[in-house]
Amino acid sequence: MELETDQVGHAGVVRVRGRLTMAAAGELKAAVDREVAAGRTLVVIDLAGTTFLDSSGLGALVGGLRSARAAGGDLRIAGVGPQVRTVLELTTMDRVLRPYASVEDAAGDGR
Amino acid sequence: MTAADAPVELRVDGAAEPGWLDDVHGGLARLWSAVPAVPEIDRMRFETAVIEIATNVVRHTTPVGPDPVRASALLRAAPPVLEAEISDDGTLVDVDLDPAPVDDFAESGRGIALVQRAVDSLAFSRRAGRNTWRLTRDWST
Repeated sequence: MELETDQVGHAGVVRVRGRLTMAAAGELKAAVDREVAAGRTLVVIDLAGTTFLDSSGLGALVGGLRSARAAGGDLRIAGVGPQVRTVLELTTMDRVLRPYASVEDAAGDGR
Repeated sequence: MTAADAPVELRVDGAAEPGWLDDVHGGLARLWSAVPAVPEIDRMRFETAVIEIATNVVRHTTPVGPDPVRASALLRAAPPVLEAEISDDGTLVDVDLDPAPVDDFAESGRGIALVQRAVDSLAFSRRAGRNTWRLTRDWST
């Protein structure tokens, strides 16, 4: 997995390329924590390049959501492909991590 | 039996470490190349379940002796059924096939329930000193 961070408006954007699984979960959580610590408490995770998500990767997204919300912000996901959507639906976590169509949509109504 | 209906089977063995998970992903890619008739939704769900269980093996097994745990994934497409047998030679693992639902903000504890929703059957047994998981998904239904 490769991570790239970026900014769109006031939002911190973390792009995830490859598989978001056990091996990558800690790195993603750390990247989200860095964004939040830098004051970008609206964090968008761009999953357009994410080929595979497992429950460990989902756990890292939830961990990031907790960090962002604890700082008064939010974590949003965008660009989900069919496998990622399947995992979100089968775990019913699409209620909590509602997929946005694009990074711009997810970042749009941020502060 | 035509060639299209012939079962395809492959095995991915290795030390129960993250590198083996990459090899299992590779094995699944080879299986899909060999059996192109499997619909995408069935591939995705089966692969999600297989990797989830294989990750459990890497995470939760402990060796019986001085050598690292060895793991094996047998992947099989016998039209119209996908089957996986994932086993390891570690000590008996503690398995809960009826996990309690977790809180929305829990960071773990969703794996087994995810597998059970992704495939038609999931079973665990201890056989001949090995932890053995069996998964099936019928792609005709």
